[in-house]
Amino acid sequence: MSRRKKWRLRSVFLWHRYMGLGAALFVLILAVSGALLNHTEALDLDDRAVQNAVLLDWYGLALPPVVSYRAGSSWVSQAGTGLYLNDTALPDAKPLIGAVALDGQLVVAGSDRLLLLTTDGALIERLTSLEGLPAPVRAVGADAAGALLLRTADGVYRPDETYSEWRQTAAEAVRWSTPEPAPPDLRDRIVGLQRGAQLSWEKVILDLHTGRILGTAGVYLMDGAAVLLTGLAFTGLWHWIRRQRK
Amino acid sequence: MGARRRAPLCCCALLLLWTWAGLLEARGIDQEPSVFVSESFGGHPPKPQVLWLDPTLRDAARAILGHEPAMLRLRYWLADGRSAWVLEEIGKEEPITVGVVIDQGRIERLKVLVYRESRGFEVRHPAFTNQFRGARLQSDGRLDHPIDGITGATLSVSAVSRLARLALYLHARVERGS
Repeated sequence: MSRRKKWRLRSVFLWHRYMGLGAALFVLILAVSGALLNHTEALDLDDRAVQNAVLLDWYGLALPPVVSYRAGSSWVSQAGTGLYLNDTALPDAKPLIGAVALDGQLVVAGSDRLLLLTTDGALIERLTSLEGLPAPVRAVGADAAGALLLRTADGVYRPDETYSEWRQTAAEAVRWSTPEPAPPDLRDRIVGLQRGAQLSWEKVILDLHTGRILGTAGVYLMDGAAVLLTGLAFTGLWHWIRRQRK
Repeated sequence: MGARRRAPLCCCALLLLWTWAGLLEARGIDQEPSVFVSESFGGHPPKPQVLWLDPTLRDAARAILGHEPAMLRLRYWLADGRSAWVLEEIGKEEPITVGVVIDQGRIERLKVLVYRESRGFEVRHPAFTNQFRGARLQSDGRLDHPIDGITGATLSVSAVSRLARLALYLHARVERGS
């Protein structure tokens, strides 16, 4: 082989070596994240919420405001778009108007619906105007006998035993549900859950895979990695072909 | 601008318009549930009744829906052997609200009342929902005649079908009870 050809071969080999070194980290990231994404469903990555505060801060997920109502020994809270019974998510009843503990039941009131729950949080029924609920609800409370009362723009209403009929009634000695600050540890858990609910591990791994986790710069970085890997493939192949011809 | 350049632009504009129209049609309230119930009883719906899902009912509902029913009790409207149900089931990610009227053990009317998904909205069309008319529930829990699916709306079709079967089962239960 001529000296020139040897030099060329060595030069390509050196390119190949340094490209490989440069791409090593990206290859690891792409391989691991790609493998995880291939098994998203099996690993449940799209359902797993991120709880890591550093990641949540990185994504700029703001701390949601928390409004809580005490209902017996439980707390019903609204944090951003989420509704919680203690630290368990509830079906939608936004905006939260109040919550009351009755005999063996919890009543969570939104402006246009009521959620009837067992004391351990199982949903008994969701009531809307279809079921005759007077709306919009402005307040929920209980009278001295522990009976549920709703206040709307038209007055105060009391339901029958099955919540099928609502009759106007006088509001006497009513304890209306009002917001109270929830215990700090519960509040922190709710905030963490609500922030995490907006970010799944699938999204984080996908952003890592595409470079978007570093914004536009990360995308260009991954584009550069793609160029490096392409160069790696070609230089490697070229070098191998040339070696075969020797 | 020459005709050669106008043609692709026109096609793009039409495509965008068609996509936008499709998205507009995708979600929405077709009919308020209260209006559906009222219509189903000639403007004079009976007082709603409550049906608690006891363990037997819950087992049956679980078998039909493929998951635990969302609520422990349901409401229905029953008069002269006809019942109306307003039920919800998740299509792909969002709940679909469906109204079902049953008379003499057959579906008299089925209508998608509220559709919240971004795709699969074809289930709202009468061409699909009319298939359920006259359907009965067999002893194996299936409908007595097949329902044609819709390409691209498999999950929505399945959700509506499950609700039809559930409504028929619940109707049989409350009819026996009454």
